[in-house]
Amino acid sequence: MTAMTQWWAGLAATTQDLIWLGLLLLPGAVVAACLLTGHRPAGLSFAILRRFRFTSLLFLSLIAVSVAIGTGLIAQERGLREATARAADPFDLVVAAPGSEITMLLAAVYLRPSDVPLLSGAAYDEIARDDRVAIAAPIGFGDSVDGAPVVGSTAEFVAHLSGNLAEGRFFEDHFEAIAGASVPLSIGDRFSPQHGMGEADDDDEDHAGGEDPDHDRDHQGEAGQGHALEAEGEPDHSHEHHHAHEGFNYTVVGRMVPTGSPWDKAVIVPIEAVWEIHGLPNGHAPEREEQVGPPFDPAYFPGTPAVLVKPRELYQAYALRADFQRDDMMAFFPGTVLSELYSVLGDVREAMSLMAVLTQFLVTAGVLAGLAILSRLFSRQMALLRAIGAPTRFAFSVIWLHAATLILGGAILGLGLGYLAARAISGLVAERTDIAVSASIGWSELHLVAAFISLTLIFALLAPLAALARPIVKDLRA
Amino acid sequence: MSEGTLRVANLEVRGEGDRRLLAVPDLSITSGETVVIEGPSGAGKTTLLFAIAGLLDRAKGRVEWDGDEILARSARERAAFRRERLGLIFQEHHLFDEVGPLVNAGIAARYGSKANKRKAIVERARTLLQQFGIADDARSVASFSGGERQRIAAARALAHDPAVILADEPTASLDRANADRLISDLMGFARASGKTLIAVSHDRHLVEAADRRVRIVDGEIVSVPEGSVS
Repeated sequence: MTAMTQWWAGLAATTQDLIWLGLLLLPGAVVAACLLTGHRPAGLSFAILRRFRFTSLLFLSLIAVSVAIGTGLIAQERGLREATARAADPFDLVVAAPGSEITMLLAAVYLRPSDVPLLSGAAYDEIARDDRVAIAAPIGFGDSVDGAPVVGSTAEFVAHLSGNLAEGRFFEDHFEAIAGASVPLSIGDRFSPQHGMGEADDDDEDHAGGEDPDHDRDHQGEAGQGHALEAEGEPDHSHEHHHAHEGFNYTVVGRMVPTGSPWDKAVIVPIEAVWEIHGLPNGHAPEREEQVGPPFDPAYFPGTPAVLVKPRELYQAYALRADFQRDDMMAFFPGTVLSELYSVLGDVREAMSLMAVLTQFLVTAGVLAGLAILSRLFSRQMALLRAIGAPTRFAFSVIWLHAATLILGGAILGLGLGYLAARAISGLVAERTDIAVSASIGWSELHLVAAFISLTLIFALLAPLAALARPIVKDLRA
Repeated sequence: MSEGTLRVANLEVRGEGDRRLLAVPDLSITSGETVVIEGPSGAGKTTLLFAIAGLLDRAKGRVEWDGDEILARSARERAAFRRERLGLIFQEHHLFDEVGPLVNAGIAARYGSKANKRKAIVERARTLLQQFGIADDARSVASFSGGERQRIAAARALAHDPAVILADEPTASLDRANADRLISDLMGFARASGKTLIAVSHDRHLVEAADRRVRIVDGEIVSVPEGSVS
């Protein structure tokens, strides 16, 4: 490693970013310094700006919009990537029946359940008994309350996800519940869960004729399949959508702290209750049927779509994954699956970023071409400047500064617009996915805009070149 | 040699198709003289003015200002010469309409390299504007009358204190009253400060106000009033 590389590696990330920013702005700054030093063209450039104020405003807006698209897109993409990774953070290792890791990731981490096979009680028992496993939390989903998913799991999983509760206590009884940070339920509230994800207020409408493919699948699929846990032989309710589990009422006893994940809008209940509601054994032998949480009895364990595993030590996670990755089960790190997903989408992201940058440059090229054409309109003033002996550099700088003002103004405005657009889109994404996306302008956007500014300031030299290539005498007499 | 002395020898300017536009074998103008170049349209008056200002790349021969030949110089050197020694006024004022009279008149201060020189130009521009009856306010020059705008252009030509004033049809776009005002201002200023004034004009008032006149027809000087043109 050379001394230079060592020096660079020893710098703080912020310092490196600042240096990059400076280096990217340097070419533009050098051009500006070469043209403007010793001269004061601003008054005349702004005179041109005022004369062509509407055209200038249009050009500035075009640059701003193109910069906003570029920066907003990149900021949004990064924000989404960080948010999804953050939401998956608490999930060290997921063990499920063999199938699609992405499907299971969406179901277990982002609460987007779909039909998945279940892990048997024996499989769960093997995982839970492993000395390296600190927490082995089964999950069960398929019910909801007012649109919020009701997810069955264990108190220790809630503690792992939330740390301390924001208020209340952990559940101690099968029909106690802990609300996510954003769920509009208060401590002491009682609710009856609905099957599926329907809104309680929509019951009548749903029953009247709505379709619920998941529900139909749950009841028509083979035994042991489906995200909702149903007892074999339960009557087919395919014509009754989002039916309430009447007679079963949960009481809210606690509330989690915000996690920035879809779990903020979920209600977590003991998994025993989820099984009981669906007419299944509750995971414990009859003599211990009141027990809440592990250990579970394999003979009375109805199956779970996934087990969320926390190893005792981080390094043990790799060994656990290796051991549970086999024919009858699969184990995966959500972070790894996300990385793979990002790398698959990376090409699309790069293509989108490239298109955004290309759009930026195309718009700017159009604007600069427009400025070059516009410069013909003040060619007489330029001819006058040259005739009275103004240095070529001065005449050059008058036109260049006009273009530079539009570029800088457009870029700064575009950064602001990009930030606002990214925030607005983040809000929409958060609303739809429950993942707390917070897109903000970061160094990569600043670097992109700095490179854009420098390059376009250099390209902006073309406008005065076009104007000053014109013969002085001809323009004076025009 | 006093500042503002012109000597032209074997000056020839050719245009497209090698057509001869101007041929001046010999012309001298002394420092402080006021001279009007007259003649019919297309005779080559403005071409002569532009040639002695060093604005024509295709001019051949010799144009000496105070002994310094300028035609052989580069475009950059000729620009520097004009910047230092010449004040130019054109038929069209070519002002920057969106800024005020002082910015226009003091435009040379914007590319002056020395702070004290820049300050002197601005002060001089302010004085000239007052002298020419132009209010030094923040109004853009677009709101001024044609005569006022041409006087602002004259102030711009004189603000850097050139030795020579070259004017191309300065009164052509003005009404009589404004034209007479401008003639009076220019002549008065040139004579009071000992500047050489060379103007191309059809304006009889300007011709009569000058020390002498040079008549050009078909690119050649055809009549030289006694004792002034050698």
